[in-house]
Amino acid sequence: MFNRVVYIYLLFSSFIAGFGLIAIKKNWLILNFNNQSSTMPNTHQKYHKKNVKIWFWKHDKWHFEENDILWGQDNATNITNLVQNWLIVLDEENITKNKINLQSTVNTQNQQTAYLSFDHNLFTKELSTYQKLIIVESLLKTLRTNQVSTQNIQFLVQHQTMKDNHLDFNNPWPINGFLKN
Amino acid sequence: MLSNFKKLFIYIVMPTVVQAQYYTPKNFTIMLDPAGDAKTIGRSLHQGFERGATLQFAQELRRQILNQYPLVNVIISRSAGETLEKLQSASFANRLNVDLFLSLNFYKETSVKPHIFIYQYQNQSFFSKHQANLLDFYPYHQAYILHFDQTKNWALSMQKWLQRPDYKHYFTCMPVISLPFKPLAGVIAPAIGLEIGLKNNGYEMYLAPIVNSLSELVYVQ
Repeated sequence: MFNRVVYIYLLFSSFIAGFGLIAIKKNWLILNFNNQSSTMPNTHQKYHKKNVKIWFWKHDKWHFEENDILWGQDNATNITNLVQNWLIVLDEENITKNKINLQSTVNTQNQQTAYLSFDHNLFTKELSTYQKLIIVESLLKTLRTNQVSTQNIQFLVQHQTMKDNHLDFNNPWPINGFLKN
Repeated sequence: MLSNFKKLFIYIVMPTVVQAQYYTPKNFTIMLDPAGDAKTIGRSLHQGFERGATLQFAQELRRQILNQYPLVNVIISRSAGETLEKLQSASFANRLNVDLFLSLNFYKETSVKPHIFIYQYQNQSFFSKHQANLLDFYPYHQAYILHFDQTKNWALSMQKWLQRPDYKHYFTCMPVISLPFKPLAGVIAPAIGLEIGLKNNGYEMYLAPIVNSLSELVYVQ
């Protein structure tokens, strides 16, 4: 009688354990050991509103527009927000012909280089090299002014190196740019 | 007391010899690299495209350089209808061991007064003066380091000439910019890029100023 009860318990517990394992494997059951209630408020606390300057070149001189964006501890997210705002300003000022979006931003582990992937090329074919340079410099100036912690920017289009007949994007560009003033 | 013969030698013959030694044009080779090729038409201009205009400009520039500096050799990197591979012009210049590589580029000028831009290749920031060593190995994108200072001096010399008051009425020459200018990548010799804004009146007015701006480069300093 005693053995029979033990066998029934063993059978039942094995069934429960097996079902549990299958449920975890098939993602019917998801176990999360992180305490959600403690992380959620912290995530909110990481972000704050920051007033940023977006630089662009028009009528032979530098201009800037001030915007408020969400600023956090994640460098890639900050760069994404900043560059998206910069692209909007360029579009509003008719500096870029087509609407360009930033697809993604990735930072290297040591935060030295940020990879920016756009959906289209930043330049039209007819622009002079100087006009193209000024567009790139306005982005670098925007990143510099708002104290983004990165040293180099690698420009990509559709996750491939940006191609241009005049400017060489095979190597990352230093955040200080190439214009002396 | 010096004899008349000695006076003649010291005050007349010697200075002339020294002067001749310093101011005789040396055997100097310039490679002109007009933008575009059979596959790449380049930017559209008021008349035609960059590819054709730069080639015609290079041919005329070559003729005038040969007239003005008889001991200078001028090579044009491509002919009409030729297709260039990536870095072909740079490789050609490096094999010929040219003294100066000039990249010629045009764009359609929209400003009232046209501009000339002078470019030098640079793709990284230097925090200290770079000591180039001819025996070191450099990848193609760092070939410019070998003659960086010389290129800078020559580009500044051209800028100085092109900013002369005689030319100010016709065009504005912008200060030299060091940037990753693709047509100059991989060239070991001093390489300078010229980008000229063309209006309806064509490129003729740029020929003489550019030829004159080479004078300090082709003569022994």
